Amino acid sequence: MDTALEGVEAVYREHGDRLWRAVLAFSGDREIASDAVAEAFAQVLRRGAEVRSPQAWVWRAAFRIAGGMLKERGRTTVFGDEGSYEMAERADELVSALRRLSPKQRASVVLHHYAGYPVKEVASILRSTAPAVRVHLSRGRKRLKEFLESGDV
Amino acid sequence: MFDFDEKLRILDSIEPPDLWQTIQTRAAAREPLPRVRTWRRLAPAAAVALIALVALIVTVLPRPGSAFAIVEKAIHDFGEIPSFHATIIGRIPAEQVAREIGAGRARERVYRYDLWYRDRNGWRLDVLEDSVPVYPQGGRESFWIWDGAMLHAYNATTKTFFVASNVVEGFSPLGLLSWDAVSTAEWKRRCSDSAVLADSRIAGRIAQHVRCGEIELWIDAETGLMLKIASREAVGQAPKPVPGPISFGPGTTVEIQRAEYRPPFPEGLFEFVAPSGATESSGG
Repeated sequence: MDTALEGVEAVYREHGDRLWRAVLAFSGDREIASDAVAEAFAQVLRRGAEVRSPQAWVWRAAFRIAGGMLKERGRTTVFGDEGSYEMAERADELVSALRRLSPKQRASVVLHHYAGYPVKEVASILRSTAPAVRVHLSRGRKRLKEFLESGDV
Repeated sequence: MFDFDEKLRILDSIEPPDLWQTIQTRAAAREPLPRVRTWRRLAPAAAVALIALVALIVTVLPRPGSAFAIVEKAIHDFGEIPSFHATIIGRIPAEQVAREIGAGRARERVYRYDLWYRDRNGWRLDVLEDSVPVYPQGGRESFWIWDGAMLHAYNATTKTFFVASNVVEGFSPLGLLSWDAVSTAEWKRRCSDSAVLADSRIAGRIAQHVRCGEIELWIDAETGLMLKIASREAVGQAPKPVPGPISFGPGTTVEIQRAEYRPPFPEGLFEFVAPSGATESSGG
């Protein structure tokens, strides 16, 4: 196994699951999440040493690929259940609430509050600006809180 | 307090699929993407920077070598210069014109000469235009002919002409462009502070560009003909004494605009015929 492959696999083992869940929360679709994450990692593998920071690259690529898929479909779909029944229900509720945000609000909230990226990094991933991301975050949090507290999801 | 980090941590309860095999299969199923190496991405910018640097070096920075050596060689070569036909244009700043002709107010002098040069014993200079025709050379349609023995000069402004035999000893029709106007010793003195600059094109010829003191010279690299001379002295200063028939004041530029070497000379070109109505004066 070559070094590049090992490096990418290490990134996948460390970040793949979290990335997949983040893309799922963003897209609301298991297929899109799997497709986008697999495609992002496959592209990193094919690009090899050209990608200097595979971790940052796959996060950006996966969200952009998922965003493109969502645009093509013109909709988001509800994902199926995973894990325990209780967790699936709560997660389903969360993703349903997220789905009611705009794509940029949703991506900002997921990348910042779940993936842990600072605002500046979120802006980079979304090809936006830090002030714009702060606005998306602020509005997204407000609406998400309303949806979750009201149970109107 | 609504903790969004905590809320979104619910997502960790979802078990993702293992995509590693899919990733490898996908990556292997396609041709590797062409690698855009860093140096290739930077190549255009690097090329532009390199060209700019080279241009800076070539055009601005002095090059090693002796300006006087170039001047000295040109002075030597000038005696063997091939025949040529050229248009010469000169510019003298208004302030300098005022000093030279003693007028209170003056305008920039721009003159254009047509010059046929066979050798030191045969040349003709016709004034095509002169915005300040009070100079001794005269205005438009004035002309000077040197046949190796006599100088015939017709001033169309005053409609007078003179014939002289001794005033042109050591004189060249090139006037300011003449190496004869300044002695080799004087050039050596001037070139004590000098620089060899980048070659350039003057009148379609490759010109060696040197600076000697406050004078810049462009010399035909092949024939030694002075193609252009420009003074960088501050305008308004009194012209420094320059040996020769024509002074070369601060801010003055003289340049050959078009040069044709070894041209066919029209019949009777060097024969002086006084224009109708011209009267002979006592001399120039």
